[in-house]
Amino acid sequence: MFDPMIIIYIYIYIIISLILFDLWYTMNDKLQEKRSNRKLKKYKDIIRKQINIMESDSKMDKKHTKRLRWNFRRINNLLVYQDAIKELHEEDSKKVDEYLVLYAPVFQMVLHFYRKKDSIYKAFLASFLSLYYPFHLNNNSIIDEEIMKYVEDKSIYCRENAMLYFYRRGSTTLIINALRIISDHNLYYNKKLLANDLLKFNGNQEELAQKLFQEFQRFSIDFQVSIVNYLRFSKNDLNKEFYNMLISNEYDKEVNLAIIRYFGSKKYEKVLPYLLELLKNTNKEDVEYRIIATQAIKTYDCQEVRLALIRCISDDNWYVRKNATSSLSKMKLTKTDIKKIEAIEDRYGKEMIEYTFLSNVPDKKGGRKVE
Amino acid sequence: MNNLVEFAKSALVIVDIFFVIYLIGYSTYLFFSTVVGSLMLYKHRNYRKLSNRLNDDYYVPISILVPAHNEELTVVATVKSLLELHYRLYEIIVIDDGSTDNTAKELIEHFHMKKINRPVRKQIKTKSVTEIYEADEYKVKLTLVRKENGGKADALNVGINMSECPYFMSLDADSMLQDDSLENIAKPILEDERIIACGGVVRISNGLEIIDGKINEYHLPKGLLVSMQVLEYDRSFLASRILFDQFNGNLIISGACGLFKKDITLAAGGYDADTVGEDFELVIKLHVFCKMHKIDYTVKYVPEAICWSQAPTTLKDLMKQRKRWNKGLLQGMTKYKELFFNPKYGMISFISFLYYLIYELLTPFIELFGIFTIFLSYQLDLLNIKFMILFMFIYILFGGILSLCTFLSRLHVENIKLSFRDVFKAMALCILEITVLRYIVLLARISSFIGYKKNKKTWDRVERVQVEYKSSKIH
Repeated sequence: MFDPMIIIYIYIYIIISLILFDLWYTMNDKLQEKRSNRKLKKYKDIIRKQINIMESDSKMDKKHTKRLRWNFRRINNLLVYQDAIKELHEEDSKKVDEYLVLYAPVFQMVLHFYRKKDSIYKAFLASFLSLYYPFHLNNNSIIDEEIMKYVEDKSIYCRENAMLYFYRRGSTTLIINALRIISDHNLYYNKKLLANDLLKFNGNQEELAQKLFQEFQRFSIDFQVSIVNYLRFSKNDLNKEFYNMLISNEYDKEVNLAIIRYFGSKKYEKVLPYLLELLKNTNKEDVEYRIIATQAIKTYDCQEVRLALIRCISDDNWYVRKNATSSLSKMKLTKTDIKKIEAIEDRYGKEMIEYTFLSNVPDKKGGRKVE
Repeated sequence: MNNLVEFAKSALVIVDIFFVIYLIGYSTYLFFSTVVGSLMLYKHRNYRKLSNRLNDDYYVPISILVPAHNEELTVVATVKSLLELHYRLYEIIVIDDGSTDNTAKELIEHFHMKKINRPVRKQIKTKSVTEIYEADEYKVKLTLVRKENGGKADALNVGINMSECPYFMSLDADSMLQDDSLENIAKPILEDERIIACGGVVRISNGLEIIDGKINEYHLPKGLLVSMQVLEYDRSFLASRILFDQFNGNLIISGACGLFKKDITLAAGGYDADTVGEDFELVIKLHVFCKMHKIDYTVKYVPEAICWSQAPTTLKDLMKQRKRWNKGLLQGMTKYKELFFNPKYGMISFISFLYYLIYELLTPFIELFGIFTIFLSYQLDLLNIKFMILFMFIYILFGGILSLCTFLSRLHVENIKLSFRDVFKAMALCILEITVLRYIVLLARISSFIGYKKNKKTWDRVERVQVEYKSSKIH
């Protein structure tokens, strides 16, 4: 008859195995650390030697190439190699960069070898190349092509590290191609992260901004929002184009809101009547437009705007009231404006006015040290 | 009489079968949670080692809510630790829930806070707010809200009303975060926009020294009671929750360390002020809300987001704490009894809810019944004492080994180092934890049912120890 205790014995056996694994892992980790330190020293010596050889003979050393190709099949070796490159880079970045360019074919081979490996390893390889490959000396189209395949990987980390490679690579074409792949395949890329990451682009920012705008229509809504948010910080003047998009009513609400925020950073007088109209529109479905407009309009300091904002202090919506008072607090108010503000009878409006104008709390964060 | 004895014997056979199934079920759950927990931690460690992470210079804005009631001994240290987080976009809101000690005074004086008339957006109905103070001189905005006493849930709701960020994090006033805890708990949000809540790990701070948000020194606490709780917490946080995470089945995000998306929480109605287990209740509420409204969502557990919290050091305080936890469990489960065996809720219903019902809520009764049947079996001369002793020995060994395994799996979490002394101490403690602490907790659970209706909203206070937050940044 089946003895249920057998199940418990099996569990105990497996758990003990896990404990032994954990203990072995810790001891192995400590041993690995010592081995890695020895390996690190060895790699540094080998790379220094190659750099010396390279100075007299700019050809790849076959023995060294073979050694790297063999070693990089194991990820731990690549980890140590990265540490070696990092430390040597701090000593003499120019020579290390030249060395990496010379041995680029090794990385081509490794990328090819890692095609079939788990995403976790591919992500690391992309990270290593994004951090250390000297793009200012040489661009390698074979490496570019391989990394482009990583963009489509199911792993978000692999994709992120591949994009970091392209941002550092500085090629507008490659960025656009990568974003096309992500957008077309509906792959996840956090839209706020994208807007932030685009600012890291190492190449010609104006050219990137122009090309992104040219490709605007083919991207998903999330990407369009990210691109508009990125373009807020761009030197390119796209005011006319964005204004036309805004008044066309052909774009998604989120895109329109992003464009309104854009005009909060980049002043364009032609958009002012549109913003003023938004402030007057009390339609509940369009409240988000009003919220964003009350914030963006602070850039357009004039009497008409101040009057419109003063009216918004009595709005039903909390965020409209808050943004209106906040925007007014950043403008040059006349005596007439102040009288009008003081005359507001709405209880909630008064509360907001008191907090924003009378509380005397500094607007900017201080750097006071913790005692 | 003979008929009665025969009936009792037949009944005991059925009871035997019940207990075999019960114990195999529990052992299987513990086994899988330990194995999955350890393997996932190992996997996470490799991910970190091999740069498998998202951009770490983008910040999701977070409001840290710190509800406090009579926390004058710990609140300043907690806020100090929060001001030194390696995070750029956050604010701190301390909600003084009608304290009768100097909680507010300590904060106002130490952080040079000014009284202001800030409007409160009452998105959730709460007890009245009496005063608001702000300090804007530090790297992030610090707000103190004083209000009428209404309980922790009500205090958190006030915090939500006050918060200016799209995400909020609840943190106990006796807890401390590591400098990277906020970063770590927020990271999953960048990876998956469906995430509505993230839970971190609560570790026991007794035995810990933190300097500038980093662990300077850690060893297992000296007290036996607290040391046993360390093992218990590890088993719960580093095993159970990781297992439930695999199928979006976590029903608890600890109130000491949980990140929530504000708009969904507001839509679901915020915290329930009528319960003492507000953390448990909120998470179930979010699950139910999202399922009902067919929202694609996920609740994530982040083992690298660590919060250090004080554990009760006396038996009396431990009993109070566990009674409250059990009351909260009962309240949550009765409020959401629709989750019981309901296909609409999928694995949450058939695994998570069922687990909490059978192996947490009903366990005191089942174990008491078990003790009774042992006694009855002995009286009817049906008890195989040798087998019973062997079984208990194996059960204790199994439980002890599981606890040890989860304790050692903390090796896979960054910044946690273990000394040989601690490992040996843990080996001894894991047996004690199963044999001693477990039964103390059982007693506490049973006592929570006594007088439940009368005391269901009572929050029995646990004594705090003065905490000193060390900062090497001297002003």
